[in-house]
Amino acid sequence: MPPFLRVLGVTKRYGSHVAVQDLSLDVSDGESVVLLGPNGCGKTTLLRLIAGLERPDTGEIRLGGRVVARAGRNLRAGRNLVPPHERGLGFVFQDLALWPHLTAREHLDFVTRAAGMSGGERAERARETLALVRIEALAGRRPHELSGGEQQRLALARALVARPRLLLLDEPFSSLDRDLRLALREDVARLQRTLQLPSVYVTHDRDDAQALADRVVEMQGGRVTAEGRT
Amino acid sequence: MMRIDRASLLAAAAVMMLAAACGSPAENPERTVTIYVSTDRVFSEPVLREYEKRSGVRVNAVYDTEETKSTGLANRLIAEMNRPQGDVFWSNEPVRTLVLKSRGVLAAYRSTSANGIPDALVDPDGYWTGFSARIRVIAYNTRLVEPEEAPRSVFDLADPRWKGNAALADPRFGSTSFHVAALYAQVGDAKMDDFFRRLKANDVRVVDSNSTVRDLVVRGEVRVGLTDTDDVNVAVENGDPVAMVLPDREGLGVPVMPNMVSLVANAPHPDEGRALIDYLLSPDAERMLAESEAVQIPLHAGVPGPRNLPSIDSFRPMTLDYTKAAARVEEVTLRAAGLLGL
Amino acid sequence: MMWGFRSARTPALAAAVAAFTVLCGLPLAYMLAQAGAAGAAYAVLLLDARQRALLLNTAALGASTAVLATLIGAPLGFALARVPLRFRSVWRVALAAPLLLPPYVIALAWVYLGGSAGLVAAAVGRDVVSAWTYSLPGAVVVLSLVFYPLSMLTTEVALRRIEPRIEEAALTAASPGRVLRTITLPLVTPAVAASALVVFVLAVSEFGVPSLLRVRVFTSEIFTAFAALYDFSRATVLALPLVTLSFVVALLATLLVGDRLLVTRRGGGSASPLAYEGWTRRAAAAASGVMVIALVVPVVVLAREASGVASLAAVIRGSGEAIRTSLALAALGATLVTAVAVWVGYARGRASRRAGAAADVLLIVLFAVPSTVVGVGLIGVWNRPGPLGSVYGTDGMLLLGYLARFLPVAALALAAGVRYVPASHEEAAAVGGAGWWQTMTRIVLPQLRLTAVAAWTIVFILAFGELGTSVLVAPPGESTLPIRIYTMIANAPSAEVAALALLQSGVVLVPLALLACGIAARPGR
Repeated sequence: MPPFLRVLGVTKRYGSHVAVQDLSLDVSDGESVVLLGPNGCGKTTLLRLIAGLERPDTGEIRLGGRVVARAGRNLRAGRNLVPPHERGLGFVFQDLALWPHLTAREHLDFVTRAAGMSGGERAERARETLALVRIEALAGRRPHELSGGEQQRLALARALVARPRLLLLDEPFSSLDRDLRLALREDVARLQRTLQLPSVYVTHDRDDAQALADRVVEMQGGRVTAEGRT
Repeated sequence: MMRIDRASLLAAAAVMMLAAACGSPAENPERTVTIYVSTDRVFSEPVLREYEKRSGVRVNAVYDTEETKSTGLANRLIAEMNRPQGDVFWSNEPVRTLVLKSRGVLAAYRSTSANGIPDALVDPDGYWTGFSARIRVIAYNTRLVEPEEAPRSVFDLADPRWKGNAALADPRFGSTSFHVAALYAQVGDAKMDDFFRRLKANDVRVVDSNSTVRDLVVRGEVRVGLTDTDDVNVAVENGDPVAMVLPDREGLGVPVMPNMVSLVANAPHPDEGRALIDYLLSPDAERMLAESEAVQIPLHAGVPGPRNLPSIDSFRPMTLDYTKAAARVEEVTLRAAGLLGL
Repeated sequence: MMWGFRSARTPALAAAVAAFTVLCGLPLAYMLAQAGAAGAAYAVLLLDARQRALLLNTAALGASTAVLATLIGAPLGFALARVPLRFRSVWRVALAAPLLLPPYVIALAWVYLGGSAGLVAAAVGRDVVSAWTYSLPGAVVVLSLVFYPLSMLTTEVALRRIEPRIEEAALTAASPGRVLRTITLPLVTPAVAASALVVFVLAVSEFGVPSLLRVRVFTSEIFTAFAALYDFSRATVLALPLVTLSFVVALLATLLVGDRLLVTRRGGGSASPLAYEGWTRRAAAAASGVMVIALVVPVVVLAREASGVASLAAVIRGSGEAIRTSLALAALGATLVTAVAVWVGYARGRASRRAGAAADVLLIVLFAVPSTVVGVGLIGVWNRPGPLGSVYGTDGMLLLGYLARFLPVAALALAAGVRYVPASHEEAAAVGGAGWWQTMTRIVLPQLRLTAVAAWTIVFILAFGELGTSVLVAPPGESTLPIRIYTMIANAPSAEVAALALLQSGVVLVPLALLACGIAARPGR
């Protein structure tokens, strides 16, 4: 079976700074890959490239066999790009990026509505997903009425609610205290087992990598420096 | 505590900077006089500069015009009554001077230069003296109206012939308010009310100013309009298709509208103020205003008049009791505005 | 340390509020007290049927203008903030330029174009448009074309403050259009509503444009009380219905929009430039369209009208001093207003929810006070023997006029900015050992830079064009450019009026364009 996510020779520059350099990476269906590396090694940029928030300067990216991004001189800017919302991804941002004016339920509803689900289906899915991350009692609250851990769970629920084909997590627990981080890490590991969802998890914490990864990819200076199964 | 001190220090510095920016009206060894002028600056400024040259007294002028939507000067004079700043008020029409007199803003001064100016245009109490006059005229578009068809009297504007094709400025303001007050005083309420009702029925265009009336006529948006000599003359000199009629030569008499100059009560520089008034009422000043684009008609006999206009002794001016007209100006102009649906 | 923190903050804010009260509130209080002394003056508040109709007309004009200006301005602000347009800063200056043209002059241009003998009628051969030119909708369109830049600039600033990740999180789930509707717009609604409110107040305060386009509005009642009756009490009291109208609208806006949660911008970097790049062509087309209608057409019409002016050279030559005076006073005035408004805005931004909402309404109401009432009030307060009187008769009065008229607007803008600075930043600084003053200058004020520049610019433009108050308090022997121009256009042929108007806008457009390009050229933006 071909890998579900395929990154081929991708480079991304910001002016003279090369964030990602000629990088290739495959992720198989159901596989959990952890990108490990120090700050500024390009791991967040790689995630944003996969999500479609940035366009590669060279190389191409495929999802489920379909080319979603390809750098090319002959193609007009943006023409070969599948926009982020058509890539079927879930993305958990480092600073969560919750929507301050929406309740937890409305967060999920926004995503499922965009995915074209019917009203009944949406309600059912929201209940189910909130239960999955164990905040079903907090459906009517807005982000500022949630604790740090609850906000984290909501961000996770939002990324999962439309049943994405690939989950991207950008240092999601870096701002939490140790106990909470361990608990949430357990949750993610449990969800990975239940949902069999391929994921790319960015972190600079080796413990995270140990706990979650089927495979650890180490990055430095925009390149892959080491790779190994756990 | 250090920090509070620093904050208050900065605040003090700011106050001092503001004070410095404002400057202080320090005692100036130079002699000065302050005049509030509502005659258009283009016309009045050269006359005042000439006075500076001749007398060596510095003239601080505050300009305004009846046409601005600011109504600055008269309101400013009233507001400053407790501590007047101006010495002389030069108005381009009588209404505001008369209002200011009734408010006690003005002081009496009989200038010797007023000799030769018709008695009717000098206040018996000495609070104002008229000079260089304008005329309320009917302007018509020469491409759309033959000279012999043009209206001869302001009352012709209510003629169905001009339905939808006549304009005048808002009767509450400026020289139009003077004209309306004069007409009510001369003709009587019943006839004037009827006139304004018929104007309304005739779809008269009421616009914001006399220069707009002139522009409408020049552009042919209306054929005829009631406005002032200086407004029309500027367009005539510009080569625009417009000419003017002095209305009511027969009957009522031509509505002549003098400039008026007055001394301000409790003026800070009364002597300099009187000297400036003497100059403004002199034949020399009248000649300058006659030669300017303002085409002001001199009131002193013997001063040559402007070239596009007849001289003051070639027609009969409307005889007008200014005090009587002034007494009701506010009431009748509001009444006219009401009848016109404003 | 906490003592130092509190003890500097309280007197500083008290001083700011006191300065605001003296500068802004005192002239109005003086006028109301004078009217109160007259007693019977308040009887005119029982408006007759005609006045009620005028008030209704004014409300319709204000509300329609606020809506239309927002419909034009907010999308343009979005385009400037999110769509990757080329020459963005050029677009911004060109689209903001109509704000610099006096509304009256824009109206004049449209009359030259759409009057019954205007260019359109001449081209078509008969009058097809003048019924629309001279109408309430006509006045709404003209005023919207002047005021939309306020909405545009406010929207752009508000959008730039949104944390980019918040939109990106939505973009991974939904299409850009849906993200815009559901996530982005609700977050900028308070800012957009505030600018609509300012447009409303500016529109209901207008007298020149409605009068030229023959739309009867309530402002003419106040003008009549001043210009035909010289009755200050009546004028002041008649300003109350207008002020009340603004009060009601401000209150409604506060209730509807509320004190929405604001999103703090944390991370650096800008949002993904890819999301709205498909909209570039549409945005450029819309921006070009608006620029042509709001700027090019009026300027071309005015320039055509102004061509062949002979005596203009003399006018411009004689205006040199007035131009310098005006630029200097407007710049100094904008600086003073912004300097005071920062502290007033800070006090409002850190106020409790309810007190803050009340302060917003109060600021709008003060901004709605007609310029002539402010001017006469300033004379009453300052023209007296003693130290106060030494300011009277100097340029300081013009600065006081700008402060009285424009502090509320600047304070509103800065208060919005303050609320984007998390209180935690100050607490962190305090805990770190910084005094309040240090915290303000090192932590809070630097984050307000963009808002302060925006407020400064708006006040500069408003001050440069200020006429109603200036003409009452300008020192003898000196005049600002608007006073000079308005006192010259009375009898001037329309060609000269057009030329003078172009001169006035040019004089302010050039330095502002340079300033904008300077800001745009700075690294880091």
